[in-house]
Formats: sequence, structure tokens, C-alpha cells
Amino acid sequence: MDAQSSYRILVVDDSDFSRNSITQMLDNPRYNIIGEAANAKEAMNILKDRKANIAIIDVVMPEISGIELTEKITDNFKDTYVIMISSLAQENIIIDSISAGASDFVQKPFTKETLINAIEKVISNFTEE
Amino acid sequence: MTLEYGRETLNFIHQLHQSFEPEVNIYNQAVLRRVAPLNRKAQLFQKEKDTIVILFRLSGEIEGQIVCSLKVKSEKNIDSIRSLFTESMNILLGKFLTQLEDETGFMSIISIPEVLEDNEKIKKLSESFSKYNLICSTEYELHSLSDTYPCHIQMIANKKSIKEV
Repeated sequence: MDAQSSYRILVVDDSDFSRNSITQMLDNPRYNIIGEAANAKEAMNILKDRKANIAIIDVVMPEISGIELTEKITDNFKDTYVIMISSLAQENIIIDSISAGASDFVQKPFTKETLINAIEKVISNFTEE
Repeated sequence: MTLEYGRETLNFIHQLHQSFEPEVNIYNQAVLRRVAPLNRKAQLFQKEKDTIVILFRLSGEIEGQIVCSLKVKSEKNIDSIRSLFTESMNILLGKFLTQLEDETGFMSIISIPEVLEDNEKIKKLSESFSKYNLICSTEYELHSLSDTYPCHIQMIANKKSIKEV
């Protein structure tokens, strides 16, 4: 994919305020928000129907955590790269996120620039593969 | 209600205070500003019609609850204010626990937020204060794009293990 390509992004967070803030930050033709999910089950259902290049996933969510969801995604959707987000950024949470298969971790609250930098870093990694 | 604490606990409460950020920008849509330091007050609060109360469970080396309340000015737009308030508290407390671990080595995490709708649960929490060795509260203001709301944050917890802080 080149610089003109549009990348398919799934946003997973139990906070509707957070999901809205992220989709507003990514209001750009380069990023195509293919869906929003409030929990892991909704996220998996969306991914079964629609392919995503990147999933932005909150760590603390009801029933199935973002870390468990990341494991499921990396096992079942090998072309979907995960960026974990959380206000909790203790070392063991970051290590668990990366061990589960996340490509990056961004602490909340983040700026638009920080989020876009993380996305572009992931895009540059998978386009090089 | 003010509680009597030993020196070690007072030092730890000071560490807790320092781990709370005085100001947090919430995605350029709101700002949280601290208006009172963390103190040793155990405030018995009540859920009123114009108050949103949210509980986060704390687990790890500090275990208990953090109860956050916000007073709205009218019931208009209460859903959007609840959504903003919930995420703002999630961010403030997540940053607080991250900073606390950096400063003291105490590792704790918060649960998903639980909205408290009835006074019975709040009453039970207030009655359980004696079971906890860390009871403290602080005050913030949530400045949204259209208004300012006072927020009260009450920690009711136990420090599970003793470490040098």
C-alpha cells in the first residue's frame, strides 16, 4: 500500500466517550473506521465480517480484557495489527500487551499526533514485511 | 469525620497525593483540575438526583474502592456528562496508579467503572469504612467545553503489604 492508501481501523473501548474521541482524531481519508466495539465479543463479530488492518484496543474492558482480545486477534486474524491503549501504563501491563501480540502501547489520554504516530509506525512496519 | 493515622500511613498518603496529577487534559474536550489536596477525610456521601456516582474497584497491593461523584447542574445532557466524567475518572485514576507504582513500587489496577444508582450500596460502603486502613479524599473540577462541574474522589482501601516508601 502506498501513501494514498486507506487503512481499515477497528476501535474497541467500553467508553463511548473514548471511542468518539478516537474516531474524531482519525477523521481523515487515510483512515477508514470499519467499526466500533464496546467489548471483545462485538470486536470479534466485526472482524469476522470485515477485515481490519489495525485494531485499537483498550486494556480494561468488561468480561474479556483487551489483552485477552489481543491474543484472540493475533491467533485468528494474522493481518490485523493491534495498538493497545490504557490509562494504566505500569510496566507489567505494557509487557503483557506486547506479549499478547500488540504492536504498540499508547497511554491515555493521548493527543491526535501521538495516536497517528503510533498508527503510522505500525503501518510502516507491516508494509515493509 | 477525620481519621487518626500513624506516621507511616501519613507518609504514604502524602505519596498518594503526589501521584495524583494536578491537571489532566481529556482529549482537548475537557480539563480536570485539582482544587483540594488529598486529605484524610471520610465523607459520607449520598446519591442525589443531580449527582453521578461511579465506583472503581482497586485490586493489587492496594485493594478497595475509589468512589467518584460529580454534581450536575441540571438533568439535561446527563448521559453525555456521565460518559465524559466516567472516562475522565478512568484516565485520572489510571495515571495515578501508574505514577504511584513508579514512585512507591505499589502495583494496583482499577476495574471497569460501575455506575452506582442507589443509596443502599453507597450507605453500605460508608458503613464499611472501619475495615479499611486508607481512607482519603480529594476534590477536582471537570471543565468541559460548556461548563464546570465539582468532582469528589474518595479512596477506601487497604494497603496489603508493607514496603519502604
